[in-house]
Amino acid sequence: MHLLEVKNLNIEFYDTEPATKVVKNVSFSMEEGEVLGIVGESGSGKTQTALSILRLLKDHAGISSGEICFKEKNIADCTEEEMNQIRGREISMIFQEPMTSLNPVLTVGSQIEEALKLHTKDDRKTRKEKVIAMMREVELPNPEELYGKYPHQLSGGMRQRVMIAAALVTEPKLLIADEPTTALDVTIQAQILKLLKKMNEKHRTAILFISHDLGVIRYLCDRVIVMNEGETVETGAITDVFEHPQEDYTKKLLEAIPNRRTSLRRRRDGKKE
Amino acid sequence: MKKRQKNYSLILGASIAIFMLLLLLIGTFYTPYDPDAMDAGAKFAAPSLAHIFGCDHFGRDVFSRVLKGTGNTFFVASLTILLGGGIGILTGAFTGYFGGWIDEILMRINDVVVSFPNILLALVFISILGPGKNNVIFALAIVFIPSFARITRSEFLRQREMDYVKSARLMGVPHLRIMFVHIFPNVLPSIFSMAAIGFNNAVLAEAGMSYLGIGVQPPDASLGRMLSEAQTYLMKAPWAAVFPGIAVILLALGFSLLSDGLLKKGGK
Repeated sequence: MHLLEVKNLNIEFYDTEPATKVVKNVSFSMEEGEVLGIVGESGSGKTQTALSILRLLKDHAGISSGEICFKEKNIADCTEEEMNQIRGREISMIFQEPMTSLNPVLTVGSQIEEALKLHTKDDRKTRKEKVIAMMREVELPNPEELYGKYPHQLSGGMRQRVMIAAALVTEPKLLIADEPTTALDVTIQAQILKLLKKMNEKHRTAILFISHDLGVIRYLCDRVIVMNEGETVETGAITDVFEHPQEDYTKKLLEAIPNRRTSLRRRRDGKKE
Repeated sequence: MKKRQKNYSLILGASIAIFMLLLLLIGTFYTPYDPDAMDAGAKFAAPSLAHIFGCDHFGRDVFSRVLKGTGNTFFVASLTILLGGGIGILTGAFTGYFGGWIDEILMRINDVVVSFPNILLALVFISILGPGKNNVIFALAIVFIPSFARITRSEFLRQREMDYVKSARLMGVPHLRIMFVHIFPNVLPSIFSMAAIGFNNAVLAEAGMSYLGIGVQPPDASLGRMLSEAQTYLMKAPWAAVFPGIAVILLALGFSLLSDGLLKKGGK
């Protein structure tokens, strides 16, 4: 049984004439505890794919064909209430902007607690204990003190940790991470990735990791899907794709990573581009 | 670091507002004379130790009547804001958050209501409903709905696109909870200042309508009513007009300064 199965997914934007296809025939599946990366340029349909799994596409976008099954259940058949039960309980999502994705007027603690309030029958005390434990797990300093603080009192890295804590406090089966480290600086980025890896290993939370950063994908993921202009270019185990790319696009993408070796070689070959 | 400036409007506004509220509170429990008791001997009596604000044309104690009248005016204005503001905020929240054709319809109705001058519209309602305190509240509330609805709508429209709303959706928070638990506290500052401005307008509107004789009905005291009655004897007994006038001014000024100060304190 697959945890998540996406079959021939097509997504269109209807606000143009004719409708723009942003995702074309994308299929993939995920197993429990697996980390799957989706890599591609901006506009390649990564985020739309992710949003469609939670059925949170914008009004002008829609799934034109294909199906998405989570735990063998077709997401298109769920009512809105059932979806709200899946969101945050079974599938959580974090995204790019840690600076603005927290509510400025609610305390950090209450925002992490929100998912528990909605999805569990825990009383106030148990909830708070769980929140504090989760905050400790995502390595936030002084969780008891931080619990009553407001987002503006936190740094970007801490806010992203809070987002992760809020996403994982209900122990979902799947975490969709949409470029969660892009807005952070490199050292914090590394810490957050390490944290995600730790959470994956500890709770067997499957992670669908979306990024344009190949290095990050390589560090974190078991398998990877390369997307370009809404289509799947290549899929495979992380080492296969990175060591022996089959498609031209993937090769070009890999070559675009600036590292010392390639730049030296280029200089030696006299190819100064 | 910039040196912190004293927030004078907040201090002054709060003091005036508290002063007026105190007067009002005293007025509900105690007035030196029965505000409606007439004393033929004290007709047009000038301010003295016995009647510190003097007496009006029926020999009623102006001070007692100002206390009672402030209470009435405040009561009408507050209820107006509560009713009109409440309905306005709800409409604004729903139309702003959900949008769509309901939004279109309600906002066009809003535009129609706005296009009438306030007092005129209130007069129309009063002439349908008949004069009286409750009807004044009702009529004014209707007049006040659109401004609240508009501002709340634009705020919700802005807030619903924010990332925190997106992340709440991702967490499976239902729409109503997003509206009132997540967005509403963010909108509160603008609602607050809007309510203060609305309160001022309501005080003045109530006074205006009572002045025109369609508001609070005699013998009940209201500041506007007292002004209108005193107008005839303005030369003979100016105190009967001056003191209620001052009370109206203080009531309006106090709350407008207060809202100003709060807004400054909020840093906007």
